[in-house]
Amino acid sequence: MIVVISLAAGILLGLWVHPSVPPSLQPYLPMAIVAALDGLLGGGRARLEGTFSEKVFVVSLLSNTTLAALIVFIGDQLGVGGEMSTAVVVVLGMRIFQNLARIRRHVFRA
Amino acid sequence: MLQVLAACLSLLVGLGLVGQVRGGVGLTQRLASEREEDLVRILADLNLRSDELTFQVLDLRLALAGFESSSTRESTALKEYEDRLRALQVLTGVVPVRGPGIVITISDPNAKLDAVQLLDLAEELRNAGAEALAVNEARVVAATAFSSEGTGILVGGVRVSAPYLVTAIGESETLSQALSIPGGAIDALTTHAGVEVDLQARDSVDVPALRGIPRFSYAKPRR
Repeated sequence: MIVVISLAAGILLGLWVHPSVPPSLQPYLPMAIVAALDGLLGGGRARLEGTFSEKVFVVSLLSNTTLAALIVFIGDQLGVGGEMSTAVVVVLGMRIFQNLARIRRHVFRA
Repeated sequence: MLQVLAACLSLLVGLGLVGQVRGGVGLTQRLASEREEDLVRILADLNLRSDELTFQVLDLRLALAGFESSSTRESTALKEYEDRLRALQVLTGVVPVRGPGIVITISDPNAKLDAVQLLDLAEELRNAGAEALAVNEARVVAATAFSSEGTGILVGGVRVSAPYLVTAIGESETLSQALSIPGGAIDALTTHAGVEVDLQARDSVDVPALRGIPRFSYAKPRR
């Protein structure tokens, strides 16, 4: 619950103060955001399944976002940044869909 | 403690989401973070797209020009058809017409005239260039027959009786002269006993429409 509220608060705050993304973070933030979305949906799923744990949520969110950004960063250094971000987006996208499907099953029983 | 951390993280995610969605769309910012080979590819893509769009513009311009010329052609054709329709309406007598012309009043107290004299008069007026003709209320067109029936005269199936009022639209000067020449139509009429002819040129003469629309059972237009 508190997660949803603070997410909404963050979005509202962002709309209000117009945060600017530092240029050095520009290529990696999208990846981190996608990973965070996956983490949020995973948290939602766990909550619906009754296995939600704040510790797991915080750790997985932090590690996933960091890892996602890191992978893209390493890819950039190796000269395969574009391909690497594609790979990360594909994997995270699949996970997002899986999480959504399970949330859907819990919410709509279908 | 963990709850607060979770809340803070979610807040950050929300912030980042908005920041990315809002600030990330700036083309310059996006391009600045691209690598050189990607920039080259993007440039090539954009050039290709621009070429395609240029061709599309040319195609559409051509199509537009085609439509414009065909629309002017169509409106010219339409105007021509309208002119033709108006001419045919006057010619076939389906509309009443008005214009300069002459009015001839023929009194025939002794009933000496028959269809032949009226037909002669009509022919004379036509030769002189009358564009529309009527005897009393009967419009005279190409298919109008003059026939005598007992003491009366039928003009296109409509019975007319003296005094006859012949109206003709056309150049009134020419029409008057054509009828008034010695030994002409008026002289031919006045040889009959008691017949008097009065001819007046007028600026505006009304000629009624044919009664009913002419129907053709056998003759069909050939395409």
